Formats: sequence, C-alpha cells, structure tokens
Amino acid sequence: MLYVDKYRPKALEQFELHSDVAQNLQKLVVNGDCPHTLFYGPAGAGKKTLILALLREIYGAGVEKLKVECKPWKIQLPSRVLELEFTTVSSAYHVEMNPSDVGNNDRYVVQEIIKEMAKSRPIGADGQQGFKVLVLNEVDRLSKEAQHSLRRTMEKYSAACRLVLACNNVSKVIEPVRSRCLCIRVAAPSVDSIAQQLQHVAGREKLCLPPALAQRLAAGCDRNLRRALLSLEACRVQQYPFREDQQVAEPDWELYIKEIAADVLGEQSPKRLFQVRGKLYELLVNCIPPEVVLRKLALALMPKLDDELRHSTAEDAAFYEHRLQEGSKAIFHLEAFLARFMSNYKQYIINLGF
Amino acid sequence: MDLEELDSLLDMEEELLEEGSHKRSRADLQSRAEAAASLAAAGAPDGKRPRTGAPSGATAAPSQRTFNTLSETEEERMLLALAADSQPRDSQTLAAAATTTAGAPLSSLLHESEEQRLLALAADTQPSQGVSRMLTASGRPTSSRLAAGGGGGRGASGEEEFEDDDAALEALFQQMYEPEPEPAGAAGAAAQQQAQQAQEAQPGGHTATGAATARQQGQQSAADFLPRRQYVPPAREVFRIRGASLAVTSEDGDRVYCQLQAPAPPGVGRRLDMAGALRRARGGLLPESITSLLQAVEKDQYDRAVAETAAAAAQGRAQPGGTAGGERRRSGSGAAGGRAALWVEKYAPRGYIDLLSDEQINREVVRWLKGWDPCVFGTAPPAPPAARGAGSRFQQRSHHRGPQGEAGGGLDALGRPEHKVILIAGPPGLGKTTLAHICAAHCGYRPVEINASDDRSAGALQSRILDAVEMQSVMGQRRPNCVIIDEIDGATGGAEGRSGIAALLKIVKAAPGKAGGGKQGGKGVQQQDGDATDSDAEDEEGSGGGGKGARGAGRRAGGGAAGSGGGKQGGARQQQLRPLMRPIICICNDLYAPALRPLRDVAKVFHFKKPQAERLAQRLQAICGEEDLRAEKSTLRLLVERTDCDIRSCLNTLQFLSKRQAAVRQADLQGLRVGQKDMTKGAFQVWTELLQKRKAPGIIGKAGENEAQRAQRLYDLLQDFGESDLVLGGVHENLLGLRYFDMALQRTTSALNCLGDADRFLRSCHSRGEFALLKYVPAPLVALSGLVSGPDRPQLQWPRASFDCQRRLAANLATLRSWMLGVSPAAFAATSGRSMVLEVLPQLVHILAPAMRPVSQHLYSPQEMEVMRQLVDALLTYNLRFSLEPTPEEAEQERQRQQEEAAGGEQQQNGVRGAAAEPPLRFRPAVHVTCTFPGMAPKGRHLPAAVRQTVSHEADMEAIRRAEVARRGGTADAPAAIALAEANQQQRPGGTTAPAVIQPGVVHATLAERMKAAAGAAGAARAARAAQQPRKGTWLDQLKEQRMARAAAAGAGAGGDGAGGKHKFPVLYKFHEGYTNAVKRPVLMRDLAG
Repeated sequence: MLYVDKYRPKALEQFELHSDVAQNLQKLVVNGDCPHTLFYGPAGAGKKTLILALLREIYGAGVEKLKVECKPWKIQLPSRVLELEFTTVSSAYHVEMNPSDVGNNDRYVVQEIIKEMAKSRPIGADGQQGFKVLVLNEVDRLSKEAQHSLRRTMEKYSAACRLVLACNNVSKVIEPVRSRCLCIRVAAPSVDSIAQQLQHVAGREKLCLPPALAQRLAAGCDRNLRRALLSLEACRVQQYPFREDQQVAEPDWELYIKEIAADVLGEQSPKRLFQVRGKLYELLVNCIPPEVVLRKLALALMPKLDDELRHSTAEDAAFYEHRLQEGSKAIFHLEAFLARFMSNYKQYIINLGF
Repeated sequence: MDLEELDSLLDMEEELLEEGSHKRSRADLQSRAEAAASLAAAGAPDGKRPRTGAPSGATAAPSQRTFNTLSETEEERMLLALAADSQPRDSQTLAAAATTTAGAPLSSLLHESEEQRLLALAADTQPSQGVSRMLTASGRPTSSRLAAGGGGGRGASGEEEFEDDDAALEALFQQMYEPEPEPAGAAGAAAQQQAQQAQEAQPGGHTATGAATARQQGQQSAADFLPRRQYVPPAREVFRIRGASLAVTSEDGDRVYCQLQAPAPPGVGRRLDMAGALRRARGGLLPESITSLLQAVEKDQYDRAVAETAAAAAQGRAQPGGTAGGERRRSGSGAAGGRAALWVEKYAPRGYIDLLSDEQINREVVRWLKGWDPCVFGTAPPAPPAARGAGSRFQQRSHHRGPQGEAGGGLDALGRPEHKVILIAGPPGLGKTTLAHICAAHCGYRPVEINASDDRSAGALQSRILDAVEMQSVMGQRRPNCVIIDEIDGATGGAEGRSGIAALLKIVKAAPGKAGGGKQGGKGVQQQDGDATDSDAEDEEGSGGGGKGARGAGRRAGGGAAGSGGGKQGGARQQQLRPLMRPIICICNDLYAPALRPLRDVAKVFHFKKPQAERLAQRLQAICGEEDLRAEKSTLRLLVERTDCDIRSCLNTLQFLSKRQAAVRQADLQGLRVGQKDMTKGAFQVWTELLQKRKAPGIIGKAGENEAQRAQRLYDLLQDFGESDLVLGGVHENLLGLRYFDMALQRTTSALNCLGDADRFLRSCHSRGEFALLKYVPAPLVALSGLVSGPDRPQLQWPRASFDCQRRLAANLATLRSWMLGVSPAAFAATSGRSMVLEVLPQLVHILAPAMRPVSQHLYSPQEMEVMRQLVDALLTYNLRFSLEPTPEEAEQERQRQQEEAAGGEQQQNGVRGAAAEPPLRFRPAVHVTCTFPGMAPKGRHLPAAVRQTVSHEADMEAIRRAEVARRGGTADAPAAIALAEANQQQRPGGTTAPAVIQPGVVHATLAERMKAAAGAAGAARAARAAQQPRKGTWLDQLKEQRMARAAAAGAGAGGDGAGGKHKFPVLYKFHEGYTNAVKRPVLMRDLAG
C-alpha cells in the first residue's frame, strides 16, 4: 500500500492539514444532516479525502465498503436510445460518479440517471438517515446544459438526496448551482505544511527524512500533497537512507514538456515547429490534458525569458488556453501558442540586434 | 435468328442469281420497298387516314390504293417499322432510289413474310448503298428481320478503300448522283434539289427536316409511278408468267413465281405532270404546293441572312449577336433543320482519321483489333510494329506481360491475340466510346454496345455478351460483332457488379484448350483458308457437315459437339462456354474501381490521355466555322482548358452559346459558368487549391483573377467540398512544410490562428447543433490561403499524424479506463483519472521497482521480504502485474529501438550489454505507455527478469489468498477486527471485486492458475476425505491442508467453475524450485499453496 493511501485520514478528526475545514464539517453534520456542498480546490489538496471523511462522519464506517462498477445505461431520448457506460463508486449510502466522462451527452446523464438516483429514498439503511448522498466529481467540466439540468434536481429531491460536488475551478460552475450549495474551499497546502506532512509520514514509516530533502520534495510538487507523498515514496524506493542531494524524480511528461520548451528556445522556424508538433502529439496521446500542456509549457518557458517577454508570453498562454477551451482540436491551439511565442521571441532577439 | 429462315433466304438468293433479270428485279423490289416506306412515313398508320387535303396526303392516297390488296395488319406493322427506322441518311437515298425507274408491283399476292424477306434481300443486295438496319420496332419475329434499304453508309465492299469515312461518304454521294436519274420532272427535280440541299447543309444528316423533305420526295415519286402498275397474280408454274419472273419460296416450302415488269418506259415526266394534274384536280387547299412555298420561304430567309451577314461584317465584331444574328444562323443552317441535333453527335468523328484522341492509343487499339483478324476473318495477322523505336515504345506503354507484341507471335492456337479483352480507362468526355466504336467499325466489325442503361446483372450480361459474340447479324451488315462494354465501372459496382465482371471474365477465360486446342486450332487454320464471309466461330465446330442443314445443326448442337469432342479433357463444368472468338472492348472511367481488379489483371489496359489542347481547339474552330459561330482561337483554347479537354463539354458549351449569340468571346466563358465542370474534387485538390496560388493561365488577354475573385472561388470550393474536418486536418498537416516568406513567423502564427478560429467555429456548430454556422467555417481558411499560398505546387501529405494521434489516444484511454476499474476502490475513490495519469502513474513506475536481488525467495532477508510484501501489496492495490513477455506491439517497438541503437553507434556495445538485455519495466495492463515518451530513456530501475518473475508469482498467490480472505470475511462478521490499514484491502465486498482481482483475463497461464484449476478439481474431494479421517502428521500439515481445501473451494467458487469442470482428472505436477538444477528438492503441492 502506498503512503498516499496508507496515511490518508479516514475521519474528520484525523485531519491535520485542513483541520479547520474538517472541524467545520464536523459541526455541520452534528445533527446528522447537511446541505448540498461544493468542494473546490486544486488537485491534490484533499477534496476527495474530505468528502470521504464527511461521508464517514454522516454514515459511519460502513460507507467505506466501496465497490467500483462500470454499468451500461440506456437512456430513452425522444429520437433515439442513448447507450452510455460510466463508472460509479458506491457504498450502501452513497454513489459517486463523474458525469463529465461521457462528454457531450452529460446532460442526459444528469437529467435521467442522476434524477433517477435522487428520486428514490434509501431503504433499510439502518433507518437513521433519511437521505443518500450523490457525489459528482469534476462538475466544472460539465457542460452548461448539464449544470442547468442540475439546478432543479437539487431543489426538488433534496429530501431524499444530498449532492456533494467537487471541482477544481469554481468559476466554471454556474452561479445558480453555486448558490444552492455550501461552497467549501479546499486550498492547496502550503509548501511548509506539505513538508510537515512528509516528515509526519516519514516518522510513522520510521524513515529518517532530511529536512532539506523534504523541503525540496514539497517545493517540487506544485503544492500537491498526493504528488509529494508519491515522490517521497519513489525517493525511498530509489535509495533508502536518504541523502540531502538525492535526485527527485519528475514525471516524464513534465520532463518532456521541458524538452519542448528547450527546443522552442533553441530555434524559431517552421521546421522546428514541425518537430515540436510531433512531441505535442506524443503528449496528447499519453492522455496529458492539453490545457495542462499549455500551462506547463508557458511555465517552462518563463524562467528563460526577459521580463518583457514574460508578460506577453503569459498573456498569450491565457489567450490560447481560452481558445483551446472553445475548440476541439487541441493541437492547433498549442501549436499556435508556440508559433506566437517563437514569433515574439525572434522579433525580440532581432530588436536586440543580434 | 431462325436458321431455317436463313436457309430459305439463301435459297432465294441463289435463285435470284439464276434469274437473268436479277438486277432489275432487285431494283423493282427496292422501289417497292421505298414506296412502302414512304407511304408509312407519310404518317398513315392504317393506310386510310391521309385524306386530309394536304398535298402529302393527297399524294399518298393513290399509292395506298395500290397496296390495298395487301394484308392489312402485318403490312402496316412492317411499314411502320420501316418508317420508324428510316433514318434521315437512308431517306436521302430513298429519294434517290425512288427516282430510279419503277418496276412492276410484286406485292399484292405475296405472302407477307416472303415479301419482307424480299425487302430485306433487296436492301441487302445493294452493296454500294446498303446501310441496312435491323428492325426491332415491331417486336414481331419476322419483322425484326426486316432490313430497310438505304444509302449513305459505306458498303461492306467499299469500306476498305476509304480510310476516311467522310471521303467515302462523299464518293458515295457522287456515285449516287452522277447517274442523274433521267426521268426528272419538275417536281422530282425540285425534290431532288431539296434533298441535295439537305445533304449539303448536313453532311451527317440526322435532321428531321432533311428526313421530311426526303420522305416527301419519296412520296411524290412513289405516287407518280405506282398508280400505273398492273396487277399480275403470281403463279405456281413458271410458264404461266410472261417475261421475267422471280421465284419466291415461302416458309413452308411453297414456291410461286411472280412476274417482273419491265421498267416503265421513258415518260415519267408525263407521269409527273399527271401527278400534278391529279393534285390540281383534287383541289389542294393551297394554290401552290407546300414544297414550293417552303422553298420560297427558305430562299427569302437566306437572302435576308446574306444581307444581314454582310451588314454585320461591315459593323465588325462589336455588335453582339442579337435576334437578327440568331435568325441568320437559323436560316443559314436551318434549311436542313440542323438545330435539332446536338453538336456532339453531329460532329462526332466519323472515321479513324477524325479521332482526336492520342494517336498512339488509337493505333494500339486498332492493332489489337487487327490482331483478331486471323481468328475472325481468317486473314493474315498484321505485321508487327516497325522496329525503329516505335516497337519499344509500344511495349513500354502497353501493359504487356509477355515479351512479344500483340500481333505476330502473340497469337494463340485459335489465332487470337494474347489479350482477349482491352480496358480503356480515362476521364469522361475524351472520346473513349467514340474511339471504340470507330476502331471497331474501321476494322470491319459491327460494334455492339452494352452500356449502363442495360441490365447488367451477371446473368443478363453473360447472355448478352454471348449473344453478341457467338451470333451474327444475318440481315444487313454481315459483319462480325465487336462487343463494347461501356461504363463498366459505373453500373457494375458492388457485389452485383463484381458478379457481372466475373461473368465477363468467365467468358474471356474460357480456355480453347478445354475443347481440344490442337484440333480446334487445325480447324481454325482450315477455316482461314476458306471463305472469309462464313467466319462464324461456331462454324468450326460444325465444319464436318458442309451442307446448309448440317450447318444449322452444327450451330444448334455446337455446344454439344464441342462438349463431346473435348469432354474428356474439359469436363462438364464449362460446356456452356466456348472460347471467346470476338474482341471485347471495355471502357471505364475509374480504372482502380475495386470491382475491376480481376479484369485489370486479364485485360490489356489503355490509359486514355487528354487530347492535345491545340488539336482540340483546332477542331472546335472548324466546327464553329461550320456553324457560323465566330470564336477566336484563344477563346477556344481557354474553353478547352477550362473544361479540362472534355470534348463533349466544349461542344455542348459552344452549342449553348450559339443559341444566344453569334460570337463567343472570353468574357462569355468567364461570365457563364458553362465551361466549368461540376466535378467532385478530391481532398488533395482542395488542399492544393488552398495552398497554391495558381498563376494565371498562359493565355494572352486573360487577366489573372484578383484576390477577391480567388477568395470567392475558394470559399465556394470549400463550401461545396464540405468536409471541414478533413480540410482542416490536411491544411494543418501541410502548413509547416510550405515555403513562404516569413521572417519572424508572423504568417505562421496568423495561419495557425486561422486554423484555430475554424476549429472554434466547428466546435460551436457541433456542440450547439447550430449547423447554420457552418457557413463561416471556410472563411478563416480562405484567409489562411491568402497568407501562406505560394506559386509552387506543394508536396501534400495525407493528414496521418492527427488521425494516428486520435487512434492511439483512444486506445490509451481504453486501457486506462479498464485498468482503473480494477484499482482498489479506496484508491480509486480518492483519485480522479486525471491525477492518476499526471501524478500517480509516473511515480508508480519508480515505486514499483525497488532494489531486489535476483536470488531465490528463500534467500531474502526479512527486510527484503518486507519490501517484497509491500511491492506485492502495491501491485495488487493498483491492479498491476509485471508483464513478463512483451506484447507483440511492444516487441516490435523494442526491435525498432534496438535497430536504431545499433545504427546509432557501436560505442554502447561494451558496457551496456547487460542493461540492454534487460527490457524496461512493463506492466499489465500496459498503463506504463502513458509515461513513456520517445527519445526519453525509460525511467525506473531495471528489475531483473528473475525478480519480476518472483514478484509476479507472489502477487498472483497473494491475490488468491486475498480472495479467500474476502470470501471468509464475507461469511464471518469480523471486518472490524482487522487492522485499519488492512481493512481497505480486505473489506472489499468479496463477491464483486474478487473476480476483478483474479479475473482470468488478467492472471492467465501462470502457475497459480494452473494450480488453482488443479486444486479446484482434485482438492475438493481430497479435502472432504481429509476432513473425515484425520491423517497422521504435524498440526502444521493439517492446517495447511485445511487451508488448501478452502483455497480450492474459493478458487472453484470465484470463477474457477469452468476450469474445475474441465479438469475432471487429477493433474500431476513436478516442480523444481530454483532456476537451475543445482538445488533439487521435492516440493509438495500444499507447500506451494501454503
């Protein structure tokens, strides 16, 4: 069992990182009831851990008996029968799903399946709780139509069902949904607290973690606790007694993006852009989300630039990420960003007089 | 075609030859036929109607009286048939023939069928004038054999002398008109003049007016002489007939003799006068005859036209062709009513020399056809092509499989060329069909066309081809058939088409060897020595019997005879199909249509190329001159270029323009879109158009299109093409390979922005379902085109990369999804798919590769055992196994990588050998691919293969153990007692997740599974026995035994049912632990399980 899973707090009182949030949640459900909630925050901050702990607080340890299912669904539409397949994680008390997985058809999932689930009261669940919980992940990736379909469901079936929503970017959740929920911000932990957590885990594992290495691990993980713990474990596997200057393995895709950034800075020409295109394709093929690629690219370029260019690069990155969201062919926009960067960079170099 | 009838016909012919007055009687018969034809043509379906007062009706009436003894129905039908088929060209000659001396009426008492045969004979025995036609109009078997006489075509004998069809035609007309018929009265002369006029105006002569005049003339002539005929009944004895007689034999053998009257004495002029008087006496409604009125009108129009032309010429080209011009032209060519015909038909090549297509192909087709001569006509094969250069070119260009040419040595035993069928392929409108027809006619064949309008299912096609190949027209043109299968790729698509092609191939491939090649070959040679007219292929088989009846019988029983002759070798399988003895020409547009593939292998393929633009323009100019349409050569060149040398399209365009104006200018072509073909363009063409800025065509006076026009054209093109995704993909793929001036990549950036815009438009169209917005998608592409297109032709590539990317992405996503389903729920619930890829998997590669010694498990220290335990635990939690053998794709990749390395350098050879031998860490399912990138060294430690094997084995065992625990945990209610860390693992609801962990698809062919299967079968029984009678042994053994029994039951319960049922017999295992035979010790089953 990995450290990530092994030392994940199970109950709200075990939380050290977001103890304030955990305490508030505890108070919230002290009467055995809770409103709809919306957890938002970056990846690896602890949203899902909090949600699971909240569920445990409401329903007790039985909620940890999870099962993963991938079921086919048939939805009768006016014109056709839509056949979908998506994965749910469920216990006797709750169902967790990711409706945005089904892409364009997500509103049918919300309209039909979620409504169906929300309608029915749980029976025989020891009778103490009159409602069940639906956990919806990545609601920010739901289409607007789907989010709108969610509005009425939230109100109408609130007697039988509570929705717990989780998302990274709360601004992509429509206002009506937000206003129906108790919004709970789960902030990314600070580097120091991550280092603290790493020391804590190392202590329980009876490892001797040099503070400098802990600090480095914490700094190199984008304030993502999951990543930090995984890095720690990877480091331990690589070499146990830790050394302070031990190499911390970075994910391959990040290295690859850095390679691309180096390529782009090395030469600015259509030919080089063509080479880079192949690398971008590789990243996309390996399921790296294009917006992550774009952001990481921009960040990888930043350190090598002069201040003037940094500004424009950041602006371009934002501009093209926006376009990326609006389009469907990610490669066009990624490439356009790089072309724009190359153009700016080259002009800048020319103006400098080289 | 009934053979008896043929025979009787031959009889008649012989008898005719015996007759001294053969020639005259023929003339009589013909005039009789013409009269009948003209009567029918006058529009008298029942022979009684034309009493309408019109002069034509009036003239027809007397002649009808002559025929009143004829049996009504049959005769009428025959006449109708005649009339229906009397093509203008024939009717011109009808007129000519009708003015010749009239003979006695033979008609009345003759049996109709005989009369029809006579008519046919009459037509047929006119070698110089006979273009005879098969009549099929009435559908009656007898009338279908009718052939109406006519002139204007080339006779069978006359044809060889004239290479040029037109020249032949001219000569024929001269022949016809030189002996000016002496009895040319006033009306007759007028009619003659009309006919001449018609003919002059229309050398091809397919016009209705021409026909009408000619018919009119025929009627007049017929009316003039027919009333004077005297009825002489035919007699059974020849002596009862005075003067010349003609023997006529009916179908049932009755023979009668008819008197042949001497030609009417000179004085036809008087008769004509009489006819005129008759007309006058009958009191026509008009004071003047309609003919003269028409003539007057035409003359008037002509005069006016001449005046206008002169005026127009004086004014120059400035004056657009208005109504006056139109009228002028109408009058200019209107005498013959030339407007009715399509120019395409009117100016179709009439002879070989007219052909516009590539000379080389023309020659080769003719040569191939001539190659059939030994087989079909029995003449010597054509000489092989001249050795100087032409021969080698010939060999290069045609698709020869053998070294020898088509002619000469390429003949097989039957004297057939090597390729039995040719396939002419090329774009539409270049004259493929015309070429085939003309070449066939040129080589003395009768073209039989089967095109897309016919039923072309396999059966129909086969019977039609066989009919055409094995039969021959007896009436009329006695030429062997040449089958032309047009548009073979079009209507014969799909499965049905394939069977059609298969039927064709069966005919083509019917081997001569099957029916005794040597014998047949000998006969073929014999036959070559014999007369060329009896060149039917079937005659070979029946050549044993020389007589007529025998010949017929031979035909009938031909198949059977061949079958009996060659049955021993050939067998009954192909007894229906005799070897192909006639050439077959196939024509297609798309040579590479899938249905044509088998045919391509067999046939000799000709790629039809565009005719030379210059030559085509010349021809167009000649035609324009003919039609009085003024057009500059450059204009015509432009037209030719625009239509891509499509002759048909050019002519249609010109004809269309000629209706509106007297002159064609370039502006007309640009303004109208007539010259542009509505073609479906391929994706490559669209990309080329987008990425290449074409230079203005090199025509003087043609301004290149400006930017706006180009933008509009591209926009339309993209709109029409439609498939935006494909266009975008192709442009994107090829964009960076283009050459354009781009100092600091601004253009590239803008171009990519354009692509991005188009993509955004598309996305919003699709996501909102507002497809009206699709019309904006081409706009960014047009803008892009303006940015990056250059004059060079781009080297375009099909957008493979993006499709490839999509495919691989989908595969990876599927792998990930199925993998995630097996991940332990606790881990799954806390991690999204995205963080799995971005965060967990890259580190898992490191975490799951701890340092372990490649030694036996027994030698591990407790620390190492702990590491091992953790590793196994992690593997199980994340549903992974080490993949011991690479999948085929991975093996392929690995091989490539190694090759590259080998090519890269030898320096690695020494030190890294050991490491290179170790393949990188692989998992099953292959999720590690998402964190491997080309060009980057695989991360993580290299686990020795031995360690992997050990770990895998251990993981499998652990999975089984856990499944069992889960099962037990399901029955016992003690989940709380288990430690918290283990709870997540073991609390899993056993029934559902346990199979996921040890599903057979994941754990297959491992030792554990085999063991499980064995234990499932044998263990259960043994465990039952063991439970009953406690065996001696230590308590440890007993414990192990019990455990094994439980494991066996679990294995059987959790999916081993099938396996357990399959292995009913005990399985014996012999297991040597360790990797060498150095350490051997006996291991018991239970040790393994424990």
